[in-house]
Amino acid sequence: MNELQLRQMQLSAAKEELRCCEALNQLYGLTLTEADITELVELRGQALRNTGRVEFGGGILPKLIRAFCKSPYVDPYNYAAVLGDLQDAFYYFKNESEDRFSDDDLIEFMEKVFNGAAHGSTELLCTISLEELCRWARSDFDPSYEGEDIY
Amino acid sequence: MRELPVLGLSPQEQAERMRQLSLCMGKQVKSYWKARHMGESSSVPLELAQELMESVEYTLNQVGGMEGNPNIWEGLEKGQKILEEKHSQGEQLLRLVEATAPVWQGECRWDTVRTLGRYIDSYDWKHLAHRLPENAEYPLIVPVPEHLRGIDHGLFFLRMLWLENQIMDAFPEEELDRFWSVFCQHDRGLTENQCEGLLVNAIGKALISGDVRAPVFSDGDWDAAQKLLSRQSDDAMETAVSTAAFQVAAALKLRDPNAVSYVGKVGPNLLPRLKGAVGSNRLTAIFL
Repeated sequence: MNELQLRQMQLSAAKEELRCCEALNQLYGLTLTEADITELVELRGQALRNTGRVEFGGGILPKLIRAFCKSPYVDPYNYAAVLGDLQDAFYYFKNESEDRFSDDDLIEFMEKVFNGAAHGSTELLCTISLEELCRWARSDFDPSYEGEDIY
Repeated sequence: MRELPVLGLSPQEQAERMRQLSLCMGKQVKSYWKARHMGESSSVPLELAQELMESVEYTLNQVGGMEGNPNIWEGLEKGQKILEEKHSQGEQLLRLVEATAPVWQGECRWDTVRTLGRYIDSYDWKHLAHRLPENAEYPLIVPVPEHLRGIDHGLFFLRMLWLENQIMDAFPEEELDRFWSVFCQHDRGLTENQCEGLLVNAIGKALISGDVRAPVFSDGDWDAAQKLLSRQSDDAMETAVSTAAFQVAAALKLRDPNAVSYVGKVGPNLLPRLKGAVGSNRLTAIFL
């Protein structure tokens, strides 16, 4: 048994966890196809490799789904892509913050910026919230801050 | 991550082991994070994951390794109990080593005791059990075996220091003071093993049937030793040194068999130097 087989097992466990979120997705008129699930799980592996991180559970996607499925900025057409970007951003921020934030705190922060100052743009979330994240990390930034309009 | 030692199992058994290992690592990551931060984190940097994995492997090795534990989580818990016990042994040994340290001790030895103290105080047997004490540089007569990791390494070091303390404590205080004076002029920057220097001289005294409890050589002692040893073959010298080491242990009335054995270990280190010094009539470089 080697690392490759371990990874395959982790992939199938992660897929299963995403399938379990389907009821919640449907509640908000969203869905993830099998192809979406496969792609998201593969993107997870890439994001982890790119950030030099390791994860032994099902991944962060189920938590991201729970936090972002109710966002006014996601719809059935952009849902999978947004989740993929959020997942990338999450692991990136996790490293940038030198693991000082728990998963839940980081997701809460991302959600506030995504639904606030970034107006649903993951690109902007990545651009602006890193700075905000650092400000939060370095000073006593108020986590209830909803973000100023960046335009 | 290395190929894990689960060979000899069927593919299904291997898959089951890997599933368990993955779950186990997930729990370890969560527990590690919880012990240091608020909330939870499902992922960790690769370097930390490798350390957590090494710790799991080391902990399982306390109870028969991966092969000996069909249920990895149970094996890990059993191993952690053993490590917890070893950790409390380490705490007791550390107190003993600190309380019985010789009155005069070089900085290197002090630093090592302090380093081991910090190691024991911060030892994390749950998550980073494999870690070694850093910068414990005092040279022991019997070095820590390379295969010893984690608390086993720390315990070995502490045991050796405790044995040395017992040995040094068996010499009269004024004789020890005289010896440190000729050994290093009470220079605290000394980096050599203090106990070894002392025992070498005591062995020298035993060789010439002198008082081993008064280890400093006097004028006639070097001549007596040179006369005796220059007549001996290599084998005879080896036997004489070995016998002298045990005479030292007896004269010091060492009750701990490990301390007796520790004294016996000085002989093999001493022999090559002794042979060279006898050949060049320079025993003053060996016995002080």
